Amino acid sequence: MSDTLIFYLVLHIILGSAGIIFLTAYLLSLSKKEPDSKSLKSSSFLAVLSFIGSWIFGGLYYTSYYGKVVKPIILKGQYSWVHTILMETKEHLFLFLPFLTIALFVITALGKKGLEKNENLKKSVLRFAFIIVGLGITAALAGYMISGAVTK
Amino acid sequence: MDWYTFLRISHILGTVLGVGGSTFAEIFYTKYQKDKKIDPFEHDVLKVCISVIRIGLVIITFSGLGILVLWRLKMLGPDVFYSPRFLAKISVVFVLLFIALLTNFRLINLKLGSAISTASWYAAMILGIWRGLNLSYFLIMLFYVVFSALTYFFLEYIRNRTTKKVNE
Amino acid sequence: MDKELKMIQGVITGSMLVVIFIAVVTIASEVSPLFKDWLKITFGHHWVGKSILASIVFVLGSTISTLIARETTIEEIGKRINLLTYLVVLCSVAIGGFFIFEASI
Repeated sequence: MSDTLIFYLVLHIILGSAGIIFLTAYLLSLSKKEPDSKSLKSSSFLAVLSFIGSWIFGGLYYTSYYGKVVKPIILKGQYSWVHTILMETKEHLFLFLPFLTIALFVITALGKKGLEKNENLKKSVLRFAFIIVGLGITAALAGYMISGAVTK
Repeated sequence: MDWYTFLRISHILGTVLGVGGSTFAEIFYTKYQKDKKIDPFEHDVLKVCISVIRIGLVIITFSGLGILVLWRLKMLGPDVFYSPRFLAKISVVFVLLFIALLTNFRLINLKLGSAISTASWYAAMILGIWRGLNLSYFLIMLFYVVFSALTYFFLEYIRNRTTKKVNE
Repeated sequence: MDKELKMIQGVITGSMLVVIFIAVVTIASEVSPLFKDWLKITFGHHWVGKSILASIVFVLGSTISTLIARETTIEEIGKRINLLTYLVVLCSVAIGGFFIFEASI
């Protein structure tokens, strides 16, 4: 694998993980009795940037290398379902993340007063953020399994 | 120093902080709760222990991720990534992270959460060191669950005994 | 406040549309090789095509929804967020379930 492709893959992983961490920080912050709106805005914004970055670098790696080199290796091995189920699911579920995180940021940035005063809205946003984190973790775990299926 | 060595050192450092921090948190809590109250100084000491544990958790998570990336680049494959011992270790680390979140949200009894956390740190350390462990994933996880339960009851027993001694 | 609520409503609607779109286009491209080929020819790669089309759906969906949005309340926004959450779960299960089904046949 060339240095450029290693760069793409590593950045995809780091930025994806960063997105999950920023969203978890968002959840922790929102769950407080008096959430700090600055911290909510910054963590959701950083999550947006992270997932968009992970999307771009993951896409570059996927379209230029994975399909041609990695996919045949996995399909030939005894864990072909890792591609046919996990990778196929992951590459499409991942597409949800940037848009849902943008929505979360917009809700947070523009709905500051609502989040501070309305307990039901806060719970709805908490549930929504929790699902996005769940999606991110699912994608990360699938990524782990896919990496594990790649052998020499 | 290459990346792999740096990441391994970091991972071991994180483990040391986590195992050490959780051990001392339990020791200090057992000692401090003898008189059934935690004064401000004792509370501060416990907070420091918890901070050390959290730092350890952050370090092992990031260094562990880095090690996984290096393994992927070396294409070590299913023998390493899907080994029952390693999958069990990853599961234990996930439990640690989950318990940390539950404790933060006050969604779990503190004594239960800290016992599971302490047991998990020791389990993760043992699973990381014991390369020759040749059991199935489910058997390892069963031992881990039993170990966590034993840790909880052991800590409760020690605390009840020390409280009894003070009251006598 | 009203403008802000309309924008929030708009982006929630845009998100609902994009989540449904991604699920539909994912399954459609597996079921119809012609559609997958069209994506490949038009965008260079089927996944790139889905990404670009999803982005268009999100931007257009959010913008149009914001412009045509009626006055709303915080409670309504909360309900819409709940609906979006359920939709995300449903579409995720649909995508995962489809690939499990496809792999098993």
